[in-house]
Amino acid sequence: MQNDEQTHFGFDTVKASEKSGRVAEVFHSVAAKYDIMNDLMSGGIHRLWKRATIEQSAARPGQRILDIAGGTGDLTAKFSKIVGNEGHVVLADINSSMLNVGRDKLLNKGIAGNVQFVQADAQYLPFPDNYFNCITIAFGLRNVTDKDEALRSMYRILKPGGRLLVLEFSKPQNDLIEKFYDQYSFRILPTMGKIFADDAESYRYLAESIRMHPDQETLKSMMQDAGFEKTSFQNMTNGIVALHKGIKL
Amino acid sequence: MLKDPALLSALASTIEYTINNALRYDPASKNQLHTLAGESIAIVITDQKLVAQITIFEETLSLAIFRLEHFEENAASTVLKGELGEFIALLKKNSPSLAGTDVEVQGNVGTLESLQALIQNLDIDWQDALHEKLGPAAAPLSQVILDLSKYLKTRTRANIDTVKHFIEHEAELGVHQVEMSQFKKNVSVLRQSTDRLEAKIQHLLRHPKLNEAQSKHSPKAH
Repeated sequence: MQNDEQTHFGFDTVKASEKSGRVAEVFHSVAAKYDIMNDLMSGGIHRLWKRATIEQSAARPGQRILDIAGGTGDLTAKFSKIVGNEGHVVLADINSSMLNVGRDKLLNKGIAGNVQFVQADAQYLPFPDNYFNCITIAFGLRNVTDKDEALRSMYRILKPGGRLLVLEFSKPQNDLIEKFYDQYSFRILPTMGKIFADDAESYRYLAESIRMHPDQETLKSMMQDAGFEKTSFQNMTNGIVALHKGIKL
Repeated sequence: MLKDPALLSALASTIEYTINNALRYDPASKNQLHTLAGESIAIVITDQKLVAQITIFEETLSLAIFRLEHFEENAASTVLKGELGEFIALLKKNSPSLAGTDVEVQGNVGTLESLQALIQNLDIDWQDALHEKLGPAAAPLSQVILDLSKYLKTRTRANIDTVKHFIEHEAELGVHQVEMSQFKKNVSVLRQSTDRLEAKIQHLLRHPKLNEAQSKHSPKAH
């Protein structure tokens, strides 16, 4: 966070207390078309990014997994299958609209029994200490008002030996790709939002929030500051997205 | 080399989709999968620094491919370690035995053998698969594919038998190893003698006077 009072909302500077409300408006607006827009905007690659996250979670049958900012439940659906009946997956999201869409989607797919839905703020996670084997947050951290607070909260509820995986947009590693990506984000994305979801503003916020999010190295050191060890990151699609990993020892 | 986890995921996703679809049309193999549910096999390809991890569920398999540095050994019930060439040789061997290979195995070998047998005995119901995609019109086409598949299987087996027979028969007709070895030895002795003779001739040509003197002092033949 910039200071006690101010934070970013895209390229705007807003009061910290206002950010979660503004983010909530965005996600209430996009919830219904979230999945189709993700597929359109990423050309379906977001499925590979999420799949890579699951592959590196080392999740096993019987484990407890928390999917923060789980939205429409892409990760939760896969984790539910991996942990089996003995395990338990919690899909947490601060936004009720996203949570409702996720719950309906999973129930329609027949995924139930070992999945719990919780409306929660990543900064103040309502779970006991040392509770989860693995925590994931995919495309959610950049929307959190106080990211350091959220990382500390995740650290608290993770079991010793457990791992945190943060999948988030990051900084492209090639200048040419970065230029193309800028054009795509600020020109094409809002237009697509306007055409397919009748909401250009929310998708402009998406592009702006990505630019304001800490780059790979900064996020890695933030995770270290929160107490995580063996922290590392892997760039995907030339750094457009990065997967950060940290272990609680 | 594949470094991007998203590309590795794309590869894993494609292979996984193919295997699971094959299992869908082979109910017998799919049923056998139940007995292995919950097991996980990790194939560590040491020279490529890659891990392919297969996790078995009730009716499907899941495949993950990732870099070696992200692998946790206790995440799999069976771990196989070796170089890519060794795994390819193992696949070609067509036998579940690891004897005579440099592939290391840790954990439950039974799971590995069961899975290998299951994949080798995979018998896809093409009729069902095509019917689902093309409807009743697929019946004649699926019969053709079925017949062709049976013919190819029979021909492949027959060809392998022919090649085996040919090799064995030829081996009997060939020169015995001991004979061959003796022949090589004789050739070697002959080569040495030829070299010595050639050196002697060269020496004589280079020093004709020395040779004359030698011949004067040497006792004359009468």
